[in-house]
Amino acid sequence: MESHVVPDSAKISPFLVYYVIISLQVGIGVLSYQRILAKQAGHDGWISIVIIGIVIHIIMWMMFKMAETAEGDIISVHQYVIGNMAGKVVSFLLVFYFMLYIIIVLLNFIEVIQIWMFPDLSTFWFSLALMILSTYLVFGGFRTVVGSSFFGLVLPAYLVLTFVFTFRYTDFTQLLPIAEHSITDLLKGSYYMSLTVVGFEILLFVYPFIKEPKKSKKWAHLAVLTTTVFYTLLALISFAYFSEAQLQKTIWGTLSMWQIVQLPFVERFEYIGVANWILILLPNIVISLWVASRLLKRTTKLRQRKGTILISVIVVIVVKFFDTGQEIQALNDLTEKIIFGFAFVYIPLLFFATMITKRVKKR
Amino acid sequence: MKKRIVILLIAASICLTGCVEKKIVDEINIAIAAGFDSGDEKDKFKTTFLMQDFMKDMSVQNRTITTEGNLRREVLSDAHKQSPAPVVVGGMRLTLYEKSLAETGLGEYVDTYQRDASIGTRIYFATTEGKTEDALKADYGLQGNGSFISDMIEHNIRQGDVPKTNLAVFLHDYYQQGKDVYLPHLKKIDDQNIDIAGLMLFKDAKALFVLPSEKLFYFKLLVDQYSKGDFTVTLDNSEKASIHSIISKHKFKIEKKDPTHLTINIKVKGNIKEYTGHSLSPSRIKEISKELENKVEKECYELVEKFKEENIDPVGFGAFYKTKIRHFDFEKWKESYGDLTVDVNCDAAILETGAIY
Repeated sequence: MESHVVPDSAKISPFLVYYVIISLQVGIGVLSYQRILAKQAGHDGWISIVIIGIVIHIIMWMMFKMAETAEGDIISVHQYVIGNMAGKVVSFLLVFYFMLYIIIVLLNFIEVIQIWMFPDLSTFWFSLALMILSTYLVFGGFRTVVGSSFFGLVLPAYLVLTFVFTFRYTDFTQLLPIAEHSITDLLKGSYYMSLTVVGFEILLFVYPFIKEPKKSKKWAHLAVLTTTVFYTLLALISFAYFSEAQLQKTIWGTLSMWQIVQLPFVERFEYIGVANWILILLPNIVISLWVASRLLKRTTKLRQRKGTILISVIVVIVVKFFDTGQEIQALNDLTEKIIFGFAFVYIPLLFFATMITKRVKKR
Repeated sequence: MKKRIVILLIAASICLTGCVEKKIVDEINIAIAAGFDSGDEKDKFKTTFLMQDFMKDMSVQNRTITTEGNLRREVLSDAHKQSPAPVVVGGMRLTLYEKSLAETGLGEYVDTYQRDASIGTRIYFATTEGKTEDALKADYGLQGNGSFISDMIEHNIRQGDVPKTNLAVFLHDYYQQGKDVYLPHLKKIDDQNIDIAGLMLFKDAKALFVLPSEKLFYFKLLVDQYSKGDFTVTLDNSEKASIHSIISKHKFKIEKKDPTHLTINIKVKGNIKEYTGHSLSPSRIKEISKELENKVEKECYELVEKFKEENIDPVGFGAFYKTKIRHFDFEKWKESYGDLTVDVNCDAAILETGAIY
C-alpha cells in the first residue's frame, strides 16, 4: 500500500470526533426538515427520526469495523476489497459526492438569506467569499479544520435556548395519538430525513487522523445520539407549535418558529439566527472541502493545496448556474437520492464486502 | 501566500457589503399598523398604514397613508408613492380588519402575512366595528396609536379576559382542522378612546358574530390554559363579590361508552378582590365559590350550545377528538357536530380574601 501514514502531529484527540461528526450532521437541513416529515408521517414524524437514528448507530458500528479491518480510510477499504487501481477509481468518484454536498449547503443557505434577509444578495459574491474563507481554513491543515468544527458547534449552541420562546404557544397533545401512521409512512419520513442527518460517514474519511481510534468509538456514537436527540426534540416542539396543515406549508419550520421570539433589544430574531447559522454551516463546507481535496490527493497525484483551489473554483462556478428556487429544489431531490444511496445503501454493502474479503483472505 | 489570501478575503468582504440594499432606520418609514377596509368599488379594498414619527420632545406623531387596490402587495407599492421614504412592514405590530371585510373572509390575507418573511408572527390581528381608517386616525395616547392598541390587547391577554391571540395563534388555528379562528373585536368610542368590545368568532375564516365582552372570561376558560381574568358573582341576598382568577385549567374527557358525550372539567383558583357584604365568614366563602362554580358551569354550557347552534367550533372540539381517536374522520365529525352533548363541571377554589377579614 502507498504511503498514507499520517504523522502524529497532524492527528486529533479521540474526543474531537464528537465535534467533527455533529458539526457535519447539523447543517442546512435543520432549518427545514419539519415540513417534509409532516407531509410523510404527519404528527408521528419524530418517530421517523428515531428510526433513522438507530440505523445510523448500526452504520457507525459497521464503519468502525471496516476501518479497523482495512487499517485506514475508505480508500484503503476500497483497495482492500477491490484492489489498488479499481479502489482508487471508485474513491475518486467520492470527490464529486463532497462537491455536491458543498454546493447544496451553499445554494440552500444563500436562498435562505435571500428570502429572509437580503433579497438582492449576490449568489456569486457570497459563495466566492465563503469559499475563499473555507480554502484558507483547509490550508491550515486538518487540525484547523477540526478547530473550525469545534467553534462551529460551541459558539452557536445558545440558539437552542431560543426555542423556549415558543413554549407559550405549544400544545403537546397535538402529538397524540402516537403511531397513527403506518410503518411505510414512517420509513418514508426517515428516507427524507437522510439529507438532514447525513455527515456521520465522515468517520470513514478521517479515521487515519484519529489518535487511538478505538477510544473515539464512544465519542462517535455519542455524537450520533446527540444529533438524533436534538432533531427529535426540535421536531416535537415544531409539531406542538404548528398545526399539521400549517407545517406542511411552512418551508423553513425552524426559522418560522423564531418569528415568535421577543427580546427587548431586537425586534426580529430571525436575522440573528440566520446570521449565526453561517457558523454552523462553515464546518460543513470546510470539512467537505478538506475531505474532497484529500481524496483528490490520494487518488491522483494532485497536491492538496492545488486540489482545494480547484474544487473551490468548480463549486463557485456551478453555484452560479442556479437561480430559481425550483432549480435548487430539483437539485435537493437529486442529492437526497445520491446521499441516501451512498450513506445508507453503499456503506452497508461495502461492509459486507469487506467482511467477505476478510474471510477469503484468511483462508 | 497566506497574507495574500487574507487581503483577498478582506477585499471580497468589502465588496459584499455593497451588494445588498441598506435600510437605515432614519431613512425608512416603519409601518406600525395596517388596516383593511372594504373599498368603494367591488373587489377593491382600502388600506391604511399607520406610521409613527418620533418628535424631538419624545412625543410620537401619528401619520397615516390610505391607498386602494386589490392585491395586498400592490397596496404597499401605492403607499410608497405617498411617503417620503420607503414603507417597510418588518416592524408591524397590529393589523385591523373592518367587520364587513372580515365577513367576506380573511383567507386571502393570510397568504401575504405568511409568505412575507419580514413580518413577525407576534403581531395582533383584530376586527373593528367601524372603518379601520377611523380607528387608526385618532389620538389615543402619548405612545402613538399603533402601540396603544397593541399594548391594550397585550395586557388584556396577559391579565384580562382576552384569550391568547396573535398571528402565530391565528395561523395555527386557521390551518387546524376542527377548529375555527377568533379575533379580538375593537370599537372606537371617540377620538381619544377605543376599547375591546368583544371577540369576533369566525366560521371558515369568515366573521360570524361578536361574543360580548362579559362572556369573554368564560370563553377564555374553555380555550386557554393557565389563564387569568376577572368576574363578579352575585349571591342570593344580592351581595356581590369580585373575583380575580389567578389560574385556571380545563380538561376535556370523552365518555368511553358514548363518544358523542364530552365532559369539560374546569378548575379555577382565585382571590376575592371586592365584597359588598359585611364579613367573609368561611361559610360565605364557600357560598361564593359554589356560586362561582354554578355560574361558570351555566355560562360555559350556554357558550357551547351557542357554538353548536351556529355550527362553529372555536374551542377546537374537533381537534381534540382527533388527538383521542385514531384515524378520526372529520367529514363524519362535521355532520354529527350537532349531536355532541357536553357536561361542564367546575371546581372553584378561593385562595385568599385580601388584606381585611
